[in-house]
Amino acid sequence: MRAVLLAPLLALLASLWAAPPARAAGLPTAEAILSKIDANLVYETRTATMTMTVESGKRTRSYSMVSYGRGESDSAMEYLSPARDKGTRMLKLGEEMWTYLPSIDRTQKISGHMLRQGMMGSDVSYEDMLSASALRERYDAKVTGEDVVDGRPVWKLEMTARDPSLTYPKRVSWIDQELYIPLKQELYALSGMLLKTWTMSEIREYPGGRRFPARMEIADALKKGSRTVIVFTELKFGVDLVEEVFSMRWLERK
Amino acid sequence: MSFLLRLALRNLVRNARRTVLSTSAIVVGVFYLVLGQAMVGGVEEGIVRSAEDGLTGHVLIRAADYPDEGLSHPVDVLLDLPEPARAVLQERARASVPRTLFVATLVAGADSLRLRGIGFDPVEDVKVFPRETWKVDGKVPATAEDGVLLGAGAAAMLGIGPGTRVVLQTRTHAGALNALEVPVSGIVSTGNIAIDQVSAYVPHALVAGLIADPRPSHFGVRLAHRDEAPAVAAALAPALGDGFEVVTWEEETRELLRMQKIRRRALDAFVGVLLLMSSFGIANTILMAAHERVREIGTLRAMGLSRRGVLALFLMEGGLMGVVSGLLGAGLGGAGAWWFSVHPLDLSEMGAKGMGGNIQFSTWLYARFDPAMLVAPVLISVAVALLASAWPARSASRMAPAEAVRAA
Repeated sequence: MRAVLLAPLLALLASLWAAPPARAAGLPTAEAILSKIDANLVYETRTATMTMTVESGKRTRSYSMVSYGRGESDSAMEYLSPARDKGTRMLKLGEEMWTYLPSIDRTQKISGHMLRQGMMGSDVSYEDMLSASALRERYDAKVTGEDVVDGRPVWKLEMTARDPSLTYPKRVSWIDQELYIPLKQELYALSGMLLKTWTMSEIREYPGGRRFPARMEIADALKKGSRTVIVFTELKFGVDLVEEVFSMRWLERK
Repeated sequence: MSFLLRLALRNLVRNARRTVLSTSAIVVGVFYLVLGQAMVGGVEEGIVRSAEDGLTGHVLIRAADYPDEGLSHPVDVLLDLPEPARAVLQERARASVPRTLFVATLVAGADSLRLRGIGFDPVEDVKVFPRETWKVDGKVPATAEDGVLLGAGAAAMLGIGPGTRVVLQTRTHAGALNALEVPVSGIVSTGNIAIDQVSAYVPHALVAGLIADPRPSHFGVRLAHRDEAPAVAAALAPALGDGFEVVTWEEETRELLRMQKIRRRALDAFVGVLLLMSSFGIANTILMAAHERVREIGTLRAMGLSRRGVLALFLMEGGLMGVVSGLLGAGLGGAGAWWFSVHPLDLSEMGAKGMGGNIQFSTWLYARFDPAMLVAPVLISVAVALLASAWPARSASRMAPAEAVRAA
């Protein structure tokens, strides 16, 4: 009698086990999602004016700066405030980077490992801030499901670095299904330990259909109370940048 | 001769206050010379010992063009020792051990500190880098599970102690970020600022996981005697071939020792000025004595004391002042040097405020005391006193007996 009663239940469980997820057939490929994200976040040229607020324990500092980007590897940045850092400039050409400190009128070359340190004590490294390379080229990804972030439906993507030298060996991203912007990203160490949580919001549309977040928030998962907020007050893509911006002359100009 | 000596002594005692004032500068000069040399010598020995026992050993093998400045320990080049180099080490070294130096961020709650990780073999490391000066609160980690041994200065900055769980974050050999949560097995005071302020000892097994590579970045070498280091380094260089760099304790400490030489010269100049001043005092004393004792000189000359005898008398007075003040200064300086050779000065506060990083410097300043070091200052003080009294003595010896008596 008991066997008779249990048989349909077991059959149902077996069918559920064997069946693919209901929406699996409708999931886009990770490749397609990454292509659309890259179309939004990767640019040929860009100018941006932004503020960066660094919260570390009880201390909060704010900076404003203007940045110029060209392709994946060239970028330049100048601090506008606070007064103490005003005029400090950074220039990255390929894998090389220099910083100019007006207070001592000196240019210093920043070596490879320093590129990976927090910028002005923030949770964002120079590498994070100044590189704009395509995720599709750097990571193998798979769509692991759907979720909701800030009330918006998202694809959940797990990305594994193709190159062992990439700073973050693993990323988990929640991608807005309509806007194709990672609303939330978790960045992991090789050990699998969560290092940073990076959220993007206030998505705006720019000419050419590009979407870009006007606000980014980076929380250090290891250091309690450490958070960096970047707000773009002005963003322009596809602008004609004068060659001089990416030169030592620009870096050291008085 | 004994008559002259007694006469010289009597003359010095007769004007005891003036004698004391004249010789006090020599006492102070010799005191500073002895104590200063002992302290400078102690600092030099501290620098060498810190390098030998801390991060360098007698000889250090590392990747070519390894950065020297700042807290910079890349792990992008790790070492596989070629067989000929192993043979040289087997033959010439007392011991050699692998080490991996890496830059890590140690996170404890809301605080973090960038420091130097010293990947070490918990059993073998001590053969090259002795631990006699170590004071450990907790224990030295023996396995990866034990965690890290944190420098006392770094622990104080973070406000943590043994048992605290911290996160150690670093880059892998390839360049990716890696992080592990580990316990603090102990807090160590090695007496070496470069270690205590900004370093943590991490067992090799744990480092291999963190940098995702089991190979070390350095090999530390201990020899029977430190003087053998240049010869062994010269033998290692061709055996290692391209891609390696061999540095000796001497090369590693050269810059600091050069600064010490400047200090030593400054001390010598200071003592020189003191001795010069004291020489004027002595010359003045002898000259005044000669003028005060014109009648006595005349009488002595009339009684048959030769000019040379008068010269000897006054030189003896100067020499006695030099001997007594030299012995007194050397005695006091020697006593101070001996005291500080047994009871070191604790410079850890100074270290915490201004030093650290790559500067290997002992936080305990021991004076270098050796009784033989007292001989030269005494001889110098006698020589200064004799030189200073030469001219007044000569003046006194040139007085004609009749004129001397008449003048009186």
